[in-house]
Amino acid sequence: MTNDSSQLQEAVNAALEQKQPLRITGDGSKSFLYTGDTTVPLLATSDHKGVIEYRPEELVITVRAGTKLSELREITAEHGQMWACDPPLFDGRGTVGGAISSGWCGPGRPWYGTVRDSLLGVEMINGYGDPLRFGGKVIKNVAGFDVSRVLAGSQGTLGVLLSASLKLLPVPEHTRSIATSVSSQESTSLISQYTKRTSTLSGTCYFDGMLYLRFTGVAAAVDHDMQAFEANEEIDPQFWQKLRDHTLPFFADDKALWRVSLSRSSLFHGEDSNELEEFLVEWNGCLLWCKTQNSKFPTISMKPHAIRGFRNIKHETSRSTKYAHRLKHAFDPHKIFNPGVVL
Amino acid sequence: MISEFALTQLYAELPEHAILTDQYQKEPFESDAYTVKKELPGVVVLAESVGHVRSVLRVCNECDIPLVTRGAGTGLSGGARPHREGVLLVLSKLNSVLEVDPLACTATVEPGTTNLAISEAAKEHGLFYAPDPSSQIACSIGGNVAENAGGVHCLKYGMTLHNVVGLTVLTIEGDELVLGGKSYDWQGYDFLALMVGSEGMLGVVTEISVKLLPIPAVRHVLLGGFDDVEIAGNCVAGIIAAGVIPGGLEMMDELAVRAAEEFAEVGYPKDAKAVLLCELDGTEEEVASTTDRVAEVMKAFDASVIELATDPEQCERLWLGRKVAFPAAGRMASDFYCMDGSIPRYQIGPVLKAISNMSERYNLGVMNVFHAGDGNLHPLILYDASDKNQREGAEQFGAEILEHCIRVGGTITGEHGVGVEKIDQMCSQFSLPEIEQFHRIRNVFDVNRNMNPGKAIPTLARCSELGGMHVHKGRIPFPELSRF
Repeated sequence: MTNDSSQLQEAVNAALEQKQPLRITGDGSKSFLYTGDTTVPLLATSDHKGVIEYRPEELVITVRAGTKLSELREITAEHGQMWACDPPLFDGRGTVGGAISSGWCGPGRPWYGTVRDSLLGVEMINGYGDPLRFGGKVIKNVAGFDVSRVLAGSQGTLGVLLSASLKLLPVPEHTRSIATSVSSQESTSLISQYTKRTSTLSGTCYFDGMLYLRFTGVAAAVDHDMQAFEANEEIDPQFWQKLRDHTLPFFADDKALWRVSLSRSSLFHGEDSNELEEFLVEWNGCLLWCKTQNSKFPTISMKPHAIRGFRNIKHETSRSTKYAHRLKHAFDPHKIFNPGVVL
Repeated sequence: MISEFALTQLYAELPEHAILTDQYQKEPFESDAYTVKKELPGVVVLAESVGHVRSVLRVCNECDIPLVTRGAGTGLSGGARPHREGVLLVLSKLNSVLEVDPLACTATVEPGTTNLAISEAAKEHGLFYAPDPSSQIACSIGGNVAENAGGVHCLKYGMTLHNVVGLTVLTIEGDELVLGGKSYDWQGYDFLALMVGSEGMLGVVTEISVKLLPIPAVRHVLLGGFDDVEIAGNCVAGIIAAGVIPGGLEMMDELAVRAAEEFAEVGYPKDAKAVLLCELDGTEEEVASTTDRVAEVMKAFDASVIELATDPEQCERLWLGRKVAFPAAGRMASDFYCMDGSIPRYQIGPVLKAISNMSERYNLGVMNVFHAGDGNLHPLILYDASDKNQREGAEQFGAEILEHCIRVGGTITGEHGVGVEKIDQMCSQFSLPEIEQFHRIRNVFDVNRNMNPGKAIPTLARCSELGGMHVHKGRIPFPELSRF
């Protein structure tokens, strides 16, 4: 547990003085997602780590940005709690700061919410070199603009995140997962049976003709929801961690990988088109991972809300909107944080 | 009054009946539900279409005059208090439910739609909209978005922010921003999170998409009576620590229980010093398990009475006392002032004690009815507005409660917003560089600062004066010195 905030503050002050832009990083677990200028010096927050305050009865933990997600998981699990948005660890090096900056969530996203949903407050340094605090450690707080939540997914373009207060949830009493061999159409109708009512469903994944379902909650309720699958094989819940961290065999090649966000009403679980030979769907059919040959843009019949090149794709340059440009300027007028990253 | 020129511009673009200029027409709009500070608007526009909203924005921008947007006017912090030299844009006529999508579990509505109307429209699909401020029959969803409204069920289901999936916003420059939507994530900055709770200072919301949830199959309410307020407060933390997230977890103190009983005779234990109401919802199996667990925790914290309601009628009866608490307070004193501080749960007991001491000091009664599970206090300060001393005392008492909330690690507002009411306490909660950052964010959308001026974010000068430092034209003397 170390407090590195004065060094980080000095580094920002020096960068401002010398007009030297910086690339903010945690432990580099998601560096392949970085689209900005890679020639600028790194500012690593990985040494600024450890728990500042944890009160389990409050369901709130305040940690420094460089704290490893794996460590956070261990500490909270001791008290039967978890950071429910479940960001990926990838190679195990993922940090809390990186999780917040990328805004990435695990397979439970539709049920447990996002990184920003559970972010109660932050401590940061903006591009003026000012140390700032927004939000707080309480569940409900509507004083001032919700700056902390804007930092989620901002990819380090607005400032250096120093610490964050996170809302936790109790770890569900019981978890059971199954795999069943069904067609894409069947998987859609199976899932919608659970989404139409209060249920314990908390994870879906479909690929290669197999549907994977996770049920979590009080034991009796989980068992009740699992009745329809008595004949099916129960699987190791580790499956969901592998899905989250992209260590399933599906992700283990060098083909171009795209991440496609679909409408909540799409209930997408595949289609006849030959374009999508290799795909994986999670989040109730709303998050599609697909591979294409030669970095070709994927074509699917449903209108996607967003398509992002994820791995092994030369990133196309996009342009910020007027307001995104102004927001960046409002926090970092001298463009010292993550230059070249466009949101 | 607003200039003749601006008025001519409005008449050129809008139907005459949509523009109210006479004093008697404008008087009903001189405040929202925060009635302490009133102001007659320069002109009122009752928008009937998004086109009207566009016109008003254009006129305000071109004529450089203030614009205050208002929904049903149920806000408790004066966020919709009009500006005497500006336009009050009223959106309550834009109240259509545009779409209920049972597949996506979303509803898309206009901003003037009442909170309850959304759940009513969703009901036929077995769905509901979770955030339910006490004023849900009347309050509009646009106002809920502006204030990031809460309610009894936030503990489990989140605030407005957590339940809004998409917004269409018009900026004062006339741009239409479509934020979020029906997918689970989007590219770019989370402007949606910034808009929710921005108190009408960044844009005018013209369309809102919300998340709908399946109506829970079962709902139980547990009532626990306690002989000690502090123990009841600790029991709240105990329930959460036991791994249960109730649908709602509310607390009423002795005075609130008595007031509610006298008003509605719901059968609360009259001699209890505090009552907890705990709602548990979900599937049959889930509710059976969590009900047992909460009852055990209540026993462990020496509850003198535990009552379980399992059928809808019994549940309604137990909730009735909570719901009538505010009108019941109106019978205890001619006026009451409702505060909205938010604190860590473990501070509930000590803070209630501190409020009780302040009550003696100010010689003003106080009644506590609040969202205990969220640590969101609502002390009701009882006073007589016709008595100048009491009126001033109530304001000071309220301010002292908020300062105390900040001291124990809380915040000045949990769900009502800052508005004009708590603008001075913003200077206590935030440093000057933080306030400055808020202003820079405001400039992103409204560089001329015509959107709801004087609300939510205090000027640097105001904070410095409160802190005893003089600021000339927004410039801090010796800016190179670090002070905060």
